[in-house]
Amino acid sequence: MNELSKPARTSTDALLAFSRGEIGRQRAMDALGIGYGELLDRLAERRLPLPQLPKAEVDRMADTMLELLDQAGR
Amino acid sequence: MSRRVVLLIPDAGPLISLAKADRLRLLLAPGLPVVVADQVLFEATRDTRHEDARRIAEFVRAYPDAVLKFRTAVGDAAAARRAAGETGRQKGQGEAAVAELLARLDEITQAPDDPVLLLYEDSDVATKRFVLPGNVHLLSTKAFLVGLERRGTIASADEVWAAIEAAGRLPAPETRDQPAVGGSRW
Repeated sequence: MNELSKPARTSTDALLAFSRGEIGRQRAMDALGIGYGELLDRLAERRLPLPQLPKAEVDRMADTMLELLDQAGR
Repeated sequence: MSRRVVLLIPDAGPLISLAKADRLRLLLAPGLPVVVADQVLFEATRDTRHEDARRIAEFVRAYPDAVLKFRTAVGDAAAARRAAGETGRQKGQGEAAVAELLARLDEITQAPDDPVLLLYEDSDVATKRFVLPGNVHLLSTKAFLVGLERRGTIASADEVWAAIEAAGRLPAPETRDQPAVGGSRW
């Protein structure tokens, strides 16, 4: 392993780990020394997906949101 | 009797991702008051070199009655330090402002048990630990979009999500359709 390749590998690792949901947003931003907007840009450049919650959890949250909007008369 | 529900944005994440896709106005679609901590708003808008920061600032300016900036002691202290010459990123101040905001929820809701929807990025919901009062409900950005899709506000949550993911691949509007410096070979 060439020493010079390590920083690039670390950046890629942080991006991949974030995309896979293995590390949090703040940790990825700290590892890369960038803000969230730039983190989104780098994911996009590499065609990596944004981490998402499991569908069941997303659906449960959406259910709660709709229930509360009904209660609010919205 | 209807209850007042507040959409609380404790972190810049959802603002930035929706700004990337130029869909910030979706936050207003449910017709709820949108509350953002002052320090979070500062962090989301301070670097105007980024289009998303400019979009967020414009969005907040355009809807002052719907998007409410919540003044915190943390935000005041951070502003005072900036005025005294502190520069660079004020790490941890956004999180501190959120903690203060959650401790002062009674100043945001009309009744103590009024529901609050707390909007975070999916990645934060997955990796942070939350200890929340019973009337506060976590909502991820994707779940918010799915909720809007089910209400018929948007055609597809997946389409908006894909637009967020793709936004960084697009040249910023100010650089689109500009001739390349020195010409282009194709």
